[in-house]
Amino acid sequence: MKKVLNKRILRDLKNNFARYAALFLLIVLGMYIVTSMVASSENVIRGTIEKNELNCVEDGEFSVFVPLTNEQLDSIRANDVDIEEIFNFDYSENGQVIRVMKVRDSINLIELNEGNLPHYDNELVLEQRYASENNIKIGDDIFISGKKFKVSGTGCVPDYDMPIRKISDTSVESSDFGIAFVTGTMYDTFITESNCKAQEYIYAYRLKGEFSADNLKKFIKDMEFDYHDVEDKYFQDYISNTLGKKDDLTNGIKELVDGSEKLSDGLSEITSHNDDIRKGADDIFEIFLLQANEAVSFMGINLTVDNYASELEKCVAVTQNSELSELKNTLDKLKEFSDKTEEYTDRVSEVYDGSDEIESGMKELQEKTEEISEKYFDGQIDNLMMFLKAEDNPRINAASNERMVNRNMGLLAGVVVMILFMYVISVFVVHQIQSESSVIGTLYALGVKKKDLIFHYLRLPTLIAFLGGITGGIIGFSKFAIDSQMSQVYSYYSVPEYENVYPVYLLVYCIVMPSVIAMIVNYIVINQKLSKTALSLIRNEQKESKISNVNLKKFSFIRSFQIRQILREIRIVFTIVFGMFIALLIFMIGI
Amino acid sequence: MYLEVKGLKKKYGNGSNIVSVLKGISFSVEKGQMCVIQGTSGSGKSTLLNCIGGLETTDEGSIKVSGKEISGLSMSDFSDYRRDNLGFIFQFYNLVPNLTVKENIKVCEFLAQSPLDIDELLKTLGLTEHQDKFPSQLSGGQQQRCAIARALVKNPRLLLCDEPTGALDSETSRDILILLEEINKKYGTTMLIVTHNNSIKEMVHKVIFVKDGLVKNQYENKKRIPAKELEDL
Repeated sequence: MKKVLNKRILRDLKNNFARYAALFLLIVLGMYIVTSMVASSENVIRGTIEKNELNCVEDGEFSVFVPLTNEQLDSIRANDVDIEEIFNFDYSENGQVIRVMKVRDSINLIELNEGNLPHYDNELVLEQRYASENNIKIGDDIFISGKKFKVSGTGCVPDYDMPIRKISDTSVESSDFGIAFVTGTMYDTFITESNCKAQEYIYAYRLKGEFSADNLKKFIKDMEFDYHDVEDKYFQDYISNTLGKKDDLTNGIKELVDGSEKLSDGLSEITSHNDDIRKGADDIFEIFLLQANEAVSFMGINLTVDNYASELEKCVAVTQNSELSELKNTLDKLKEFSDKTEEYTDRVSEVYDGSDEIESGMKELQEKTEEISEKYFDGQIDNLMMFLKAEDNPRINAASNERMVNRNMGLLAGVVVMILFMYVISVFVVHQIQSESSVIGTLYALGVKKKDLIFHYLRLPTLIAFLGGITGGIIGFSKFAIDSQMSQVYSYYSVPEYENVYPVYLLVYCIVMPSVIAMIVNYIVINQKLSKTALSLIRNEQKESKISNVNLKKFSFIRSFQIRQILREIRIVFTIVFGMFIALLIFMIGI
Repeated sequence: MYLEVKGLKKKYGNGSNIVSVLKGISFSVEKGQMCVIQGTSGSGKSTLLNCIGGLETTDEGSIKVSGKEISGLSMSDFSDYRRDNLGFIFQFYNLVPNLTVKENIKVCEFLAQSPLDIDELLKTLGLTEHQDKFPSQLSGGQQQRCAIARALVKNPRLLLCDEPTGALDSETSRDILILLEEINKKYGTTMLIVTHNNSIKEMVHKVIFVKDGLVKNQYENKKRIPAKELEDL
């Protein structure tokens, strides 16, 4: 049976050649795009791994305020860590910035695209994207800080895979930013001559042993550091704005504490004389009272503190003696003085008690401020300015990371697109089944089983998907296809030229995936259509569609016919539109 | 008895829309007999044929083919039953459009353990010279002959024919009936023919009249007339 029906497949293919050819071409196109995208992504991903190994890409980098001493560098190396200076400074002219560095010795080595490394001090290697964008070729002269250099080579380094000026930059502007690698002597000359303050002290590291990046970071932070050694004015501003403010606060509070202590001490001393002052005032009064008693003794009166005023008033009234009157006034004033003195000393005692409270309050303020300062204002200044692991560095593996997304999205989009194409093919097959419904029903009546026919109807879509997948894969793997994808990488990222790779999984994907999807999608759709009874198929019974039973009386015949057709196929239309949208979205995200 | 039907009942619809199509039909057919089922439209004759052919389930009653009860079989068992026992011929030929005559017959060849020789069958049916033609290149009679050949190739013990001459002119109908007669003689195939055509009853061994879902009349035809002598076809 299969043999006989196979002839039918070829005839069906011949009769509907244009339809199947169009679908075949769509599959080829889809698989071509996916394969070339994924294959080129694999070139970049695998090439990056290979070149990173070859060029000793850093595990991370850090910058410091003050260059590390040789002892400090040795102590780092003693922990099985390779470390190399990648100091640099930026030279700007006409809106363009060239970052000048030394040629590296052990980490982040230069991969030359053309030419040689600089042998002489008047030679340099230029980052390839900058050279290309500015049309600078080997042998050309360029000027940096008034010095003339000959371009001995162009190339790239793994720590500037994405050649952005600042870590926070999001896009590459190679026409305005590039890197120049000069000899070590030349670099030192630059620094000496220009007394360059803008130099960045960056170190690249590679971990060889068990010493982790976090360990290294802590190690550097714990290194001895005197921030007064830092010449950078920005750093000094930073210090004055951070540590300086803290000191101001601490000193201010200390002054307050000292002042409150002094105040308390002073008041203590004053209070200690209260009794003397009070006694002196009382003594003066007593002396004057004694004198007054002597003066009125002739009258037999004994004056006391309590009765002197009334007794003297009586005497004055009797004698009309003005001296006694003055005596009384004097005693009144002295009595008042004595009372006020007592009141004063009481107030002084109160003030003293208050100052004591102020002093203890100030001490409490000082303690709490110190606590808060310790907790929230870590005034520990260390030499480490920036510590960046390679995986967090947007410049490193940028192309590879981007292509990894493309690869995954491409593989996913390929599946989505293939499901859509297969759904379209299954619609054709379903139409064929519907038109052959009575034939199928008759074959069922004669004893042919559903599985025999399912596999028959699956053959053509699977064959087309299989051939389309292979053809698309072959074209996708072609040099032309991969080169056109790779040119997008080379025109944006500063990466070495990668060799083409042909991943086995992608070959399997091209061969197997379309066929499998064709089988699954068509099986689901065809199985449903062939699950009717023989009689139902012979009679070609169709399910009544509820959705097409809408009231369209107000439309013309043609218009209502068109609407009904759309409604009848609404699920297919929706599926295709939605599927296309998702596939394009995935492509867009991927690209 | 090769075919024995007893008290067969079949209803369609549900609730208040129930229609009883077969109301307790009983009859039997001997092995190698040609039997005609006649009746007016809606009498239930095609439903009866479909029930015997396992294309429809039954509600009550029994159908025994070669002593084996078939009512109540599962869909899969029905399929096996049809494959092993039955040949079907319909009013419309339902040939696979993009297969030749020979290929259409071959499609069913694999269903039988001991199929008939296709070339001999083609010769018997007068299709040898048309064997490489497609259905669209054949006349109605030739297409029906092809459909008969397809049904016969697996050497069925029971051939069910639903209006086999319904779409044919009288001359072609006669040819088909002659052919069926020859097959019956040559292969001993039991045949059950549902037809409106009143003349066909003259050529068969047994005639069954169905009316309103019941067997109105049935009799053995003692005076058979060969198909080639039939009139008013």
